[in-house]
Amino acid sequence: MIELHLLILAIVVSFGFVFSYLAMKEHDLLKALALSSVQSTFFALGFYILAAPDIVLAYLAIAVGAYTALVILAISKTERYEVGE
Amino acid sequence: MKRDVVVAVSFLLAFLFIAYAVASKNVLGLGGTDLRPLGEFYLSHAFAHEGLTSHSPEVVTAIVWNYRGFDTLFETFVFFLAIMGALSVLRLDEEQLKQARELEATMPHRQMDLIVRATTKLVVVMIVSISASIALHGHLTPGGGFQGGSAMAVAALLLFVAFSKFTLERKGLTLGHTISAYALGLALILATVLAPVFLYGGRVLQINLLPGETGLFNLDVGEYTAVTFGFLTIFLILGIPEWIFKVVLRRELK
Amino acid sequence: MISFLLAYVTITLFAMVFLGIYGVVTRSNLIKKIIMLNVMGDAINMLFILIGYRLVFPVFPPIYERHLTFREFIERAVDPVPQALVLTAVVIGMAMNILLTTYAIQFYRLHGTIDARDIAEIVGGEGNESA
Repeated sequence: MIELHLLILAIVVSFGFVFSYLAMKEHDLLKALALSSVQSTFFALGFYILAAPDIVLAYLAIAVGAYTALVILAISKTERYEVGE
Repeated sequence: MKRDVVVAVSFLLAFLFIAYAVASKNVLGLGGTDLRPLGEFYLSHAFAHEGLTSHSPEVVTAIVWNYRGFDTLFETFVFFLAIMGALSVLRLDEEQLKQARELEATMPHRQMDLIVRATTKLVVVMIVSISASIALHGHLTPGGGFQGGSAMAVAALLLFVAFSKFTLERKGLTLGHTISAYALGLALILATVLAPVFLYGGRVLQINLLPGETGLFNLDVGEYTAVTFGFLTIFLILGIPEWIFKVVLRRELK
Repeated sequence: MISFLLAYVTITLFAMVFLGIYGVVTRSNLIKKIIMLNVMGDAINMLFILIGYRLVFPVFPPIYERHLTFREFIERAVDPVPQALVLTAVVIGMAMNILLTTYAIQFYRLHGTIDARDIAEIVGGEGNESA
């Protein structure tokens, strides 16, 4: 049964890594932010598997709620597309 | 281009070295089956012990507010500094705020559909009650001050999206009110931190002297208020559209 | 099997830390740098909580419930100290994000661009002019 917990944790962390790599390669900043918040949701699931319920509540509300709203407001006041290679 | 390759190769070498050290030689001590002595001390002394107890079955809240209370006190101070820093860069004084509100009144305000508005009213009441439950039961169940505060900030953001910011400001959620409520939350935390010195003759943050569980409860309520209204201050000052800022600041230059 | 999965999780988390640092160094848009800084911070927080995890089967969070005996609680609960440290780190990370986005907006207002290399040219200094 310990293997089952660790297997779910390995799957969740792999998905987080893939989504954060996609967020780095993206040139449209709003899409990169959406991919980053999907990565945060997967990590909140990983925190639940690691038996840390306080961190799940704080992390989910901050990283998907307040942080995403803050960066969307910042993007709306500056430019949306990233220039460069 | 060449600098990117050098950076990538050096990071790859550093990563391989650290991965080998952690996974093979077990430098960090991962995956054991017994507790470290400090963790065992906190787990066994937090609830019902004769010595340095904390009267709360939730060990993480006991560590955060009681055993390592100064860390949390200064972290609240760091959050306060961040909000003051952001307000000092994006500041508008009274007269400019009035001009900004007049300019906002000329914009066409689009509220959302009737379905979205009616559902938002129900969902916001549920979110506010759940966040209050998370914050006020912080010494018994998982939760505490920050978790409840950020959840209620999310409820306020939902209201910004469904109704417009102009409607909320007309109902009374202005910048002055949120700053005053933020100061009230911080004053409650400060009063609970200094209460053992003036009322019971102990030291600062010795909240075991307060009767029952009042110490942790007051600290949770103070942190809940402070974090909610801190986030709301930032979102209210950042929610003003950019063209209004340019017009108002250009008038300041003349 | 257990040690393989634990090594895999640790190596992926370290790879994510290095991906975050690589994104901060290489990309020149200020907001992309802020997003990659958060990716690095999340990976480090999860690594911290993984240090406190115990490989026993009915693993409990560190909250004392009334139906457990005290001996059982100490034998099965997870270490609470890294969780308290990560809670502080999450709030301080959010405070840092508030300040960083405010300064990015102010840079855009003052200089008209949000590219880090163009801002370095405009502000001046030695070695910042491109040929």
